[in-house]
Amino acid sequence: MSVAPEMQKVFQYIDDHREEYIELLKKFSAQPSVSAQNWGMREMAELIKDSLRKMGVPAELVETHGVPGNPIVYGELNYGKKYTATAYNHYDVQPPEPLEQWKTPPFEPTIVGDRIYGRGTSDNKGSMLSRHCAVDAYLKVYGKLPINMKFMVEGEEEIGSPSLEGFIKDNSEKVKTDCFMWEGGTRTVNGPVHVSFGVKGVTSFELRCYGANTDLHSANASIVPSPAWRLVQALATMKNDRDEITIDGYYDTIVPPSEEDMEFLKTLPFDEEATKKRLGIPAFINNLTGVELQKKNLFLPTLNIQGIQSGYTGKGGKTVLPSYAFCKMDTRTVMGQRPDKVMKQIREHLDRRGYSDIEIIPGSNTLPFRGSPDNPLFKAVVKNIPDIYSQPAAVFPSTPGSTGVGFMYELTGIPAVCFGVMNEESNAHAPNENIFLDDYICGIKLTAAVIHDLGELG
Amino acid sequence: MDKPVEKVFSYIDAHQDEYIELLKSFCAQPSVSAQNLGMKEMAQTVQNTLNGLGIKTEYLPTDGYPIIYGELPQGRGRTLTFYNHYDVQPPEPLELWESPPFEPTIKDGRIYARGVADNKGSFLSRVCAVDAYQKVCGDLPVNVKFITEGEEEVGSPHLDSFRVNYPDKLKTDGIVWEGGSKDINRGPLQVTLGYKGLCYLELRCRGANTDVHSANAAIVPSPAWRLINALGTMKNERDEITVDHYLDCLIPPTGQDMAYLQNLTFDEEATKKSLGIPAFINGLTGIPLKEKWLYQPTLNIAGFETGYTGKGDKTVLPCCAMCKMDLRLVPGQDAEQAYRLVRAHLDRRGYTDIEVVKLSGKNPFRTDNDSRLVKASLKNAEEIYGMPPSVYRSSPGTTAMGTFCGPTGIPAVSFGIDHAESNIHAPNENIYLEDFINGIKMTAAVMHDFGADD
Repeated sequence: MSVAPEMQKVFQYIDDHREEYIELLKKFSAQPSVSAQNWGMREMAELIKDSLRKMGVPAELVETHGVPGNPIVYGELNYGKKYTATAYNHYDVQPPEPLEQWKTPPFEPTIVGDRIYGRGTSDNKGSMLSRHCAVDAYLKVYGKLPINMKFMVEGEEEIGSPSLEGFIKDNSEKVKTDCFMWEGGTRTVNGPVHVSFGVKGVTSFELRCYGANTDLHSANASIVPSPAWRLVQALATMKNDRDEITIDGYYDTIVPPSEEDMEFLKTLPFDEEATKKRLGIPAFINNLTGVELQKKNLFLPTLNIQGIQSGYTGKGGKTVLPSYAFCKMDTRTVMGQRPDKVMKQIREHLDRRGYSDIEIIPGSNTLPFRGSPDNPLFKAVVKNIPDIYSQPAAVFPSTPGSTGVGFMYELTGIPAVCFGVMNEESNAHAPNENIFLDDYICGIKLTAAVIHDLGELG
Repeated sequence: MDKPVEKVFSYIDAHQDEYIELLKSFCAQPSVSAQNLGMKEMAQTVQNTLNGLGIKTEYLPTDGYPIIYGELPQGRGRTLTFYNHYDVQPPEPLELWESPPFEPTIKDGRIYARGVADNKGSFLSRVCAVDAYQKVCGDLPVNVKFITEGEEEVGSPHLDSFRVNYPDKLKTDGIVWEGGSKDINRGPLQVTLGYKGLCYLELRCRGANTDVHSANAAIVPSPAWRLINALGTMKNERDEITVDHYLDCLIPPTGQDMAYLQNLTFDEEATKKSLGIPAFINGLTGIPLKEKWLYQPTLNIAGFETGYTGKGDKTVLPCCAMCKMDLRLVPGQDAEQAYRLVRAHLDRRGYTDIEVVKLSGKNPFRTDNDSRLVKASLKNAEEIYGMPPSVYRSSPGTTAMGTFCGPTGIPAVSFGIDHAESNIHAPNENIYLEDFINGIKMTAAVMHDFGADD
């Protein structure tokens, strides 16, 4: 299991053109493309289209019809091969604020030591270019790819991909593929690259509980119902102090990890002591460690309190009986759970206990997904990592976080594999976003090697 | 009714306008302790007014606002003390006032102004009673003391030091406490013989040293859930406090205490309607409702905050959670003990990491039912208002009565000039002029009976 000998030439080309690829990353990162602020979106899309065309990829802007409706950059290399892979990425970035915390200007990409700093370098322009440059290098060396390749770059990922569903429905031919190289991925600093073939879903909602029509003097607390207590008691029926979700039937339908999934947990580089120290916590939940900790992290749903507000929370004491309490929550779901089902279970759980007055306000949803380790694209990624990074991959059958992968799978049935050029100190969504230049170059090589190996499928 | 008191009443009726003018001048002077607005001027006015009655006054500075103390020895066997406060609540929100809060306005038999009910009207009902009694009888039937503080609306932080530093000034045979209200307009007078205590706690629970992405919720402990689970052990769904040993030491109401409940006017339907609630806790009505209201402790959540509470959702696992609780206490309990029981309850269940901070405490107090002051108050309330009083053996609220009377055992009774819609602490605070005049008579009559020979 190692990189194919044919890749030496391609890797050599990538090394020889390292500066050119870094320049391209700098150029892309210098173009603001903040979807939340509608800043530089079309300019960025044009830049990518032109870059792809220059590499020899026929590319176009496909207009979308959501709000704001930023175009999707679409490109395609069709050689009539049996296997098609699609690089899904996004060109929009998070807002750069708070600006005063940046050590270098967010849209003036700056190399300091072995890292490049700039908004979007890690999320997601670096990973996007690792796919595009891999194709460029492969084409330069061999003239054509051994597989068909598609490129889909959206401009609304950071605001929840509101136009993606419409694009998928309107462009079924363009979306059709065997597997997505999804977005990007991270690595442990100086440690293994993370590869995942699944994600948890996330369903957000709010619980609201009302009492009297006005806040009252707390002298009334012995006779006037308290929505704060009511919400506390309702919540207390939903999770016990061993962090087990006690919503009726919540675990009944979840798909347990396979033996193979469990085997992958051993590859995970999670430094428990360092994480506990960094977060200032004495232990993880239930004092879990090792495989048991990872099993809970990756394969069990969560029920998280994002925030609660009721009554007076300022300085000192106000003797008030609040008339209203609410709780914002998210539940990370795993394979076998569905957002509508989950919301129904919560409603029925509350109703069954007499809490039918507690309102549930649904929020956003993403879906869980867990693919198969037999996926050829996944196998190719894992196979090539040891040679390129000098250490084996850390394999996440599911990540604890959530992406659009589950949604894509729901609509198309197409699986996805995630890997990329970030690291755990990349400060995605935060000031001083950065990646290691070497990780960027290795990401290009890995993508090229994966494309090559997939060629063996015909 | 005794003849001298009838003469005093006639004098009060004849001098109504004078007393109402005095009330207006007091209410025109802002005295907002929370905002340090007009406090010095108001303290001076109180002192000048008491001096005008021949009372020997002292200006007792505190770290906050001064207490105006006064005494008028009459060589009598008994001493009666009037406790009141000259500070008022902030007038905000100003836009909801129909007349300016510090421009007392008379309309339809009521006078509107900030402080007119809480507590300037009741204070002046004591002052005017002394004045009328002196004018008619020359001297008073009791020795009189006035303790008038300027920090009641900010929690009376210096009252306990007054008790400790001036035991001679506190020495008395009874205290007419602050003021009081009515259950319904033109209804019976409320006479309050005690108050619940109050222990104000803040519970704080911490997790990681920073908020983290909620993707970590499967493995990183959540202080919000921890606090919820801890709270879930402290009260059940039937509103029963389940803190270990919390109810062990309660002194249950006596037969007389329960009998008082019969006379309380509490319009359950109207209250439910005005609050927009389908039922009181546990669907209680009648005597059981009143019993719980007046004689049972509470464990109230005054505030709860954790994490993100803005618009939309933020997938965050908050690193800290905070809950403010106020615990109303009944006889048998005290604030320090309540705090300790909560602490021990949490410790016993492994919640030793949850910080419990006691922000303030006041002990409960009930006056001896058989005391002379209680009898004088109940008798005159019936005669002056023409119907038996509503006796609150214990108010569901809290005052500093326990601060003075708990350690000393001094009997204390509250009655005053408010009514059910006086809007205390709210815009358009008001009293009926009739209630003000009756309050003067009531105070004069209680003085008379309290001082009378047996």
